[in-house]
Amino acid sequence: MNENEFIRSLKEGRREAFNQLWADLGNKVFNTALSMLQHTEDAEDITQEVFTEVFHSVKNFKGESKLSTWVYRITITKCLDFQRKKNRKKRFGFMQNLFGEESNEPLRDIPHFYHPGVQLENKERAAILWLAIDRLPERQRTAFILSKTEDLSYTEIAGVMDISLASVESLLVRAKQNLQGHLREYYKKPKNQAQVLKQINI
Amino acid sequence: MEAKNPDHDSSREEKTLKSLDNMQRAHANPLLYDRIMKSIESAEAKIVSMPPFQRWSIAAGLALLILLNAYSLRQHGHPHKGNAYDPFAKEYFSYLENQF
Repeated sequence: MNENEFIRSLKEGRREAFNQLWADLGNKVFNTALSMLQHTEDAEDITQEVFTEVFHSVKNFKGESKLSTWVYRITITKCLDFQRKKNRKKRFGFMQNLFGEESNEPLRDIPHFYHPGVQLENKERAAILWLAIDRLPERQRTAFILSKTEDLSYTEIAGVMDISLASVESLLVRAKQNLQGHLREYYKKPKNQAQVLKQINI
Repeated sequence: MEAKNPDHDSSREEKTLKSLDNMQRAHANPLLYDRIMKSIESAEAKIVSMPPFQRWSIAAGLALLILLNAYSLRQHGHPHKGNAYDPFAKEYFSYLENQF
């Protein structure tokens, strides 16, 4: 079945086509959401939202891009919206703190996220890198994650983010520079050095 | 000879930057797909489960409400003629006349 036929069966609401879509893109959507949000339950919720939206709005899919590109775009949009909402709540929590009310939000200056797909020997270093990735601006973070964790080509990233190839290159270069800066800062702190040495048993 | 700066170990940063190389994709919980299908089916069931009579009753009720509103506006909703401040202005000017 070619992509056009597949899209037609999805538009007709055929269950087997949707099963196939899940088989093809389920893990990709979940992995992208997990990398963007660094939280398993949130990533599962976003995956659910993405597939629900795909199910309901595939009728309006015009086929101007590949189906996977469209699904990735929905995933990224939903993740960014989710994070913006979360950040607004955090800012509100900060304001509450200023006025003396307590917030339960944990401070994120220690590695907290361990991606299950990272090789065991890189586990602790990767956790520090995820911490730095979390501090990148949205567009740089999106481009970096699509490139590193989803292994998308520059052309595919450009399609998902709806930007030019040159912009993708520039975003990735700046992301790398920023990550180096964040890591340098991280390793400078004696508290963090001790923690890392302890974690990687040196 | 330049002493090595312990605060700046670029090889450590590089190793950390490369720590995501060759990573595997995380796999979604196998039960997640069932959860998604259930949520889609229940959303559809809510739409389908409303009998046509109920749907038409709601539509007719809304139409009646709009008609009643339109009728009452036509009957009682006269546009305001004149200036609401006129009585005050009269009062004010009479006050001025008395003054000067």
